[in-house]
Amino acid sequence: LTEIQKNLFHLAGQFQQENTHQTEDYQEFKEIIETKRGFLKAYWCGQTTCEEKIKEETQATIRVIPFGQPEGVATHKCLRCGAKAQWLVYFAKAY
Amino acid sequence: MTEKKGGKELVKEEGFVKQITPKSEDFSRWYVELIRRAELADYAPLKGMMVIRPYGYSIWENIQRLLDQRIKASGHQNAYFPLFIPESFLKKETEHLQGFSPEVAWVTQGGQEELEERLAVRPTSEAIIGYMFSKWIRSWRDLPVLINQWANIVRWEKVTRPFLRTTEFLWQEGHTAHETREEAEEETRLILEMYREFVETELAIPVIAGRKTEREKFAGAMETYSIEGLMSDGRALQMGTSHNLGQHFSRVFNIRFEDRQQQLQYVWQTSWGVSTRLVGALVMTHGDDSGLKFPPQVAPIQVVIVPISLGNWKEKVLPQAQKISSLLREQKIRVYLDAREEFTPGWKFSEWEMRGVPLRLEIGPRDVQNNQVVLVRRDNREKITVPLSEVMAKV
Repeated sequence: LTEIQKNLFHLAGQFQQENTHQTEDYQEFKEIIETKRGFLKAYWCGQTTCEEKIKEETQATIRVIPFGQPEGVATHKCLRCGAKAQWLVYFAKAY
Repeated sequence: MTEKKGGKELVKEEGFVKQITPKSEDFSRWYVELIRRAELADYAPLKGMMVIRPYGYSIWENIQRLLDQRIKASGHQNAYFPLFIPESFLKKETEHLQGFSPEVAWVTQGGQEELEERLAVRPTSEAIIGYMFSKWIRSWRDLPVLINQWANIVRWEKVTRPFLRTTEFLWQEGHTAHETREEAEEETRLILEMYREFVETELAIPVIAGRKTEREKFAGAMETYSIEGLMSDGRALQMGTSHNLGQHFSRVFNIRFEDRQQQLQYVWQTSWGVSTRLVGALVMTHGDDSGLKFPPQVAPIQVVIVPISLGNWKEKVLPQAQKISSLLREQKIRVYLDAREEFTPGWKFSEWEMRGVPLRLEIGPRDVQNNQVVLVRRDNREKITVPLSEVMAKV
């Protein structure tokens, strides 16, 4: 039983990894959300208006701003508007 | 008796849909059909409401037990607050009211009398608990207040789905009050970490923990943290939230205390919760085309014993199966001996597979002779023959 518990966690972890993508290209982002779904890591400017536009255009919402942000976030650009990124976030279609 | 008869009829009646819609074909249908076939829940005769059946409720009981231990170990105590919340209470925190008002169910009449003030059916309890905190908290000596409530919640949802979003659901809601902003923040993060550890350890679901954006945070919170799981259809599910309420509620409910310098201060609050959604998460994360796949820690039945009904199995096999069953039970393992005569072993195999029992123990006349049993895992279908003497250790 202990092994089964571990294995189920392991399998779910593998699934999560295989279905977590990262992109800086909005077109590619739209495609992934449309076809594969899953978690999409992307840089975001921190503006609510931009977040809402992304939701309108792709149905994806920002699930979380994860703890432990990588270094140099500000050197990247927002996925949609191209402004200086403030956070690396997880997008997904959600229940 | 009626339960059993009902079960049989259902099997016959659904004979033609014996196979549940494959998960890859139509995930939503697979989810709903599986929940009903496995008897986790059924639709109630009211739109958007469901009945949690015994098999589904026992998962919730396991979740409650395992989480309640953690809540108490971190110093919180359980209490219970009223189901009805006066409208004026909800109105005090405007952001909070605006966030919830589209979903609130109202009581306007008591018996024959029209009520002077409408009562909300609890959509969450910050308002009523805030009011009570203002009566209980006087000095820094009264802090922190660390309270949890196990309760039902009503939110009038337009689109519903069993366990994920229903008009009424069950949850726990923690509510705490602290002396300083830092303490409240620490509590909020501590609880999120407790949820993460609980969901990963007991439900075997890996999650991403982090902060919500301004747009996605709880109505009335300063900061919301959440854990998010990825369901097997590629959609995310919010599985638990922890809110730092700042002084939003303490200012409107006037929850003040005399601090260590005899100055009056508003308390800093948090609230946090997980709900019966977690049962839906278990189905969607681990289930496959053959049905459910429960992690042993929360499975209603951990081991099912199926005696192979050949020859005079009742004399030869059943006593041995009963012995094993009671030995496992002594080890606090949730075991079920399926000795029903009206079903074949093959039917029972697929039935318990569909219901997600982690481990099946088969025993037939030959196994009895050879002092062995056959163990079959639900997760990878691995089948092993084990000498009787090693059964306890293997399970």
